Amino acid sequence: MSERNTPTRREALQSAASGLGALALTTLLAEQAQADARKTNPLAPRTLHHPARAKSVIYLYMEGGPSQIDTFDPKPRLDRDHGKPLPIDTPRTVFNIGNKIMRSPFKFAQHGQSGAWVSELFPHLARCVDDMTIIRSMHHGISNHSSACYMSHSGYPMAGKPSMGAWVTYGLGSVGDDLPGFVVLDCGQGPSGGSPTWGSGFLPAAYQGTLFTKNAEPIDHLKRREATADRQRRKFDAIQKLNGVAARRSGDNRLDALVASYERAFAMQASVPELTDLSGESRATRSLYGLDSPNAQTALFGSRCLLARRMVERGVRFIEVFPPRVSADRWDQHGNLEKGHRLNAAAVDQPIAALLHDLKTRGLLDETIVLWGGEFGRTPNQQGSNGRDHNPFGYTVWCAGGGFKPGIRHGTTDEFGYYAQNKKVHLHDLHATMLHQLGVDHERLTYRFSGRDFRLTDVHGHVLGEVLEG
Amino acid sequence: MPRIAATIPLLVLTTCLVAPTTLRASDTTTTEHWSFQPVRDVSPPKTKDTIWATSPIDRFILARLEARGLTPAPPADKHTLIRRVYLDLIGLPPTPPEVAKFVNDQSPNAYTKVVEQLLASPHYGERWARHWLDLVRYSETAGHVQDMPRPHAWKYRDYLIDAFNDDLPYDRFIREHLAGDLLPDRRPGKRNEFNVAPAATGFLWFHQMHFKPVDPVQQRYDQIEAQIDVIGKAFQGLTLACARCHDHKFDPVSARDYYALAGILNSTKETHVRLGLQAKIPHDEATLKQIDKLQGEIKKTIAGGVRTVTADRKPKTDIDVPYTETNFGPGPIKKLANLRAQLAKVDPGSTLWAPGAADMAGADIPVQVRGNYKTPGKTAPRGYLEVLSKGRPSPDLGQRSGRLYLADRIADKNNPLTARVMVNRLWAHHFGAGMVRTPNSFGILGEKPTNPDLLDYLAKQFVAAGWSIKAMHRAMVLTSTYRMSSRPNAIGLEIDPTNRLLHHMPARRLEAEVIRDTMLALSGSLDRTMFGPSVPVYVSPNATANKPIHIPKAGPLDGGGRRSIYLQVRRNFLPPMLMCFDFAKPGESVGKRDVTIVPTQALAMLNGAFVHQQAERWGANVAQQDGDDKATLRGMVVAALGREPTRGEADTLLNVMRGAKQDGATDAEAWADVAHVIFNLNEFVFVR
Repeated sequence: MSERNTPTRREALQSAASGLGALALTTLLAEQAQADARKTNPLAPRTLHHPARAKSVIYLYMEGGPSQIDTFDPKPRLDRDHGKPLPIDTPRTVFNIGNKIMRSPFKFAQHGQSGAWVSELFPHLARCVDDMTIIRSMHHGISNHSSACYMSHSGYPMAGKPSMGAWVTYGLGSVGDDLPGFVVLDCGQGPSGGSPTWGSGFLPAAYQGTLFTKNAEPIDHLKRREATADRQRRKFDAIQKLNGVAARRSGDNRLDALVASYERAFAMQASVPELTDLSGESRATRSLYGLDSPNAQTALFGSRCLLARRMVERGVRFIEVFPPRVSADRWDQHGNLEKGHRLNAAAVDQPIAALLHDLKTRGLLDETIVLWGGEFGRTPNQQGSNGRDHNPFGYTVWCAGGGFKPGIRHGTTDEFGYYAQNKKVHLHDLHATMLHQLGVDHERLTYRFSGRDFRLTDVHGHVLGEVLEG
Repeated sequence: MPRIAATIPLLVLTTCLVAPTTLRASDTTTTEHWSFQPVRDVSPPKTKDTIWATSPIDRFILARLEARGLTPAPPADKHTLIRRVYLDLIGLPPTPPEVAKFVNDQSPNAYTKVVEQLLASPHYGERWARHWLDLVRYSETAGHVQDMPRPHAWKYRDYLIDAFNDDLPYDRFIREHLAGDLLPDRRPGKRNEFNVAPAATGFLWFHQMHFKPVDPVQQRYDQIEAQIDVIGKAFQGLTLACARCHDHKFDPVSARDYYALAGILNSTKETHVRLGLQAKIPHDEATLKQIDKLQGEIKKTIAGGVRTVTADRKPKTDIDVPYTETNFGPGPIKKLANLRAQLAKVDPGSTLWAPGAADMAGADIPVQVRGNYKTPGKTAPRGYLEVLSKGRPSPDLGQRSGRLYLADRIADKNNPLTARVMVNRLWAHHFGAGMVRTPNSFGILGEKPTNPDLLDYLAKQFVAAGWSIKAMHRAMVLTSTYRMSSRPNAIGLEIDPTNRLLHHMPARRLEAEVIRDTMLALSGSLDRTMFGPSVPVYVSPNATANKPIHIPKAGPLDGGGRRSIYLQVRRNFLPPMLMCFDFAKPGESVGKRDVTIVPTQALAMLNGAFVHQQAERWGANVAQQDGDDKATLRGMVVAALGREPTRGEADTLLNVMRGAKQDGATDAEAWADVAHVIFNLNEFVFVR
């Protein structure tokens, strides 16, 4: 437990600067400095296995399971065979629905230079397809919401393993000194996996996601409770003075870390409100994101997307955004697919298109991976009279930025859109690829816990070279 | 359905990383691993210094220090020592009179008296039961989207507190955990229980589960994996779950071993174990009728609850998916709670049950190739790990599940792991790190013991002393080693920077529970009531869930003043204050908690509503006391830190108080500011 006598980061860097800093030693020292910096600040930024193409991730997690065959993966066969029995074997589903084929109620059209098909659900996003890498052959086989939610986040279908954002901040730290490295932006409708979705699992708590709600005080404990700033300052100064004396007297570098953590906490009291205050954004930007939209959900989700961009600018490593609650269930249309999907799409379409556009304009898209997707897709056979059940065997996600090859489609499902067929992509592959773009070898980012070395990708995962820019 | 089979193979299987050197279970290098060898008889070594060592433990420590030219740190002063031993043994700080009494007690056994008093305190059980709860990933809900409650899970927590307070011999403790419902001899409890032993078996079902799994058979085997995992880690320091898919990569544990255990657990179901007899209170006819009616309704609701789960997806296999209330939808859960509350009013004896285990017809199961139940291999006869069964005949378990056999094998005094693993845990809690620094991992990937002779000596002593945990506490805390100062010297730091040889006591950040409980104690809010249903968890306005109905009704900010062990543990809504300070999440068996120092902790301590509330209460209390400001301040610092403030500290703290007053604060508010500063001192969250 005693960690004293290991040099602080400052000391290590000082010794590097005072004669030891020959080139041959720099790697070693850099590693040492990184290791030491992590003892005092677990979020100190660091580089890992190879040069990173991307610095940040924005995960637009579409809880519920948006239907691939009603969004990005049109299937003419469904139109043709509407009402007929599905002529393929199907696995047990949540509701064990019948096998009657249901066509998509939405019109599809091709868009952009790349000619990608997008349904009428996403008129704004349709204009962004040339920036998107659409992967239409996702699969993992986990049919329950929360299990698939954990799978999508941690590569494991149960709670208790670190979320991707936790792995990434564990591997890379964070650049934003006064902000958390892994942030979750909620609109009042969390994911089915609950708080473990953004948990750090067996990684230290420093790596778990910090939930920002839409409340006036978006995270707990951020606002001083004292009537005046002076009153807090007086106490704070006393705390730092007494703790500083104790730290110097003991020589225990954990106490230095504690003093430093108080400085950062104090700074966060100002930096977070500054971050979440969108009033300084131009009218044009606010309008772009739909903050003035008559649709309150669009405006709310737009504010989250805008916030995500502001966080990317400030060096937050991993940002996850959950969609708002609309007057239908989240993307989980076991019935009333048309109405439910329209409402869910309307809430997110404009803001996401705005985010891509804005990131690109500011030169940030190149170094930011934007990932859009649910925990699974939906069945081509109908549930009830107008719904679809869960389908984790073939579904669509898309990425943009961060060195993903823009304007391509990767992989296909069968002609009914049920099973991934060509160039199948497992979640582990997607995770491995995202880590790769962040400069991380997914096979080498490990953490030993209770006698085992764990990875985000378990023993699986292949980097998808084909979807990446050369 | 070839198509499906091709799509599924990755599903849920826990797999292990293949490291560069892959070993086979049969390799002698693994069977000869130190922890699988019999515990050795070791005598305490001779030391050059014959004065310092006051116990055999000290001689083991000192001999190794001397071999490296090191000397132990001087004894800690009495103020430091009494705070250390209080927080360590009962998790609450000594009061100023208790500090004064100890400091002024010049008798040679002053310290021993304190230790005995603490071991006899009921708060001891509360402190040490929590350590064990970390291992069994105790939770009162099942997680996933609905985060369904596990009714009466807290009975297990109460069982543990009693077990530690009663110094239940550890071999009996193990047997009750694995087969408490099957033991021939009953153990009456303190709250009218005829037999509390079966309550221990509840620990087998603290894993997470989905209440409506698409593949219930799969979930059943996932649960069994979770049970094997916790049994392996908690009692044997082994990761057995790896062997679900393949022979263990490093340790001598084969897939056959795994399915030998899985067969035992698959022959076990969750049930309500009766702890009591029917209430002896004579009932009148009308009451009896009411009891009958309510019992009938409860039965009906349970049956109905089951039907809602399996109606349309009863697996077409021979595996019986056992019912558990966690499988119920929210409707039946609520209804059941309601009915039980009514029943408890007319028949208090009706509450004497707990979730626990029962045997089903025992049957072996086949090895599942790559962990997939759809690809069965050879049958694995139920039994225990081969590596620990040399020269033993395979058991004839017949119609029994085999849990009792398993219990006997683990609680066997000749099992090389059992006693070592447990004394190492006790050591880790007392000395900041285990001799094996990976307490849940005694396998090849675990660390080697820093002091193998001492570990074996203590393991032998533990068994010889009738597996008494309290005897081990005495042996450890009544040493010169434990009483050392936490101030290292320069040579020690240079030669042994990570203090593996223990040349000083490590200073430690306190656990979340101790920090919270101490605040309650200082502010006068601590409610020392023990046992019973948990206090609903405080839910921050910033909590979120998939659907609002999944957000539990918020409990009080201060948890009603109850100790942290009585706060409800909900998987999706863990207590925020505790989470800040590295509370053990119930996702995995936690043998060693993380210790992080991050700004979120500072923010919670600076701006948290709970911390402010406690500071205000403490401030209001001290403001009413007579005496001058200096005496008041002195009392506060002694209460919080177990020592007098220095002059500099006193000046700084009094200035905070005076400054607040100049700003127009009342006495209570001004002292609350002082209290708040004290809560934020590093010394408050550390023990030295």
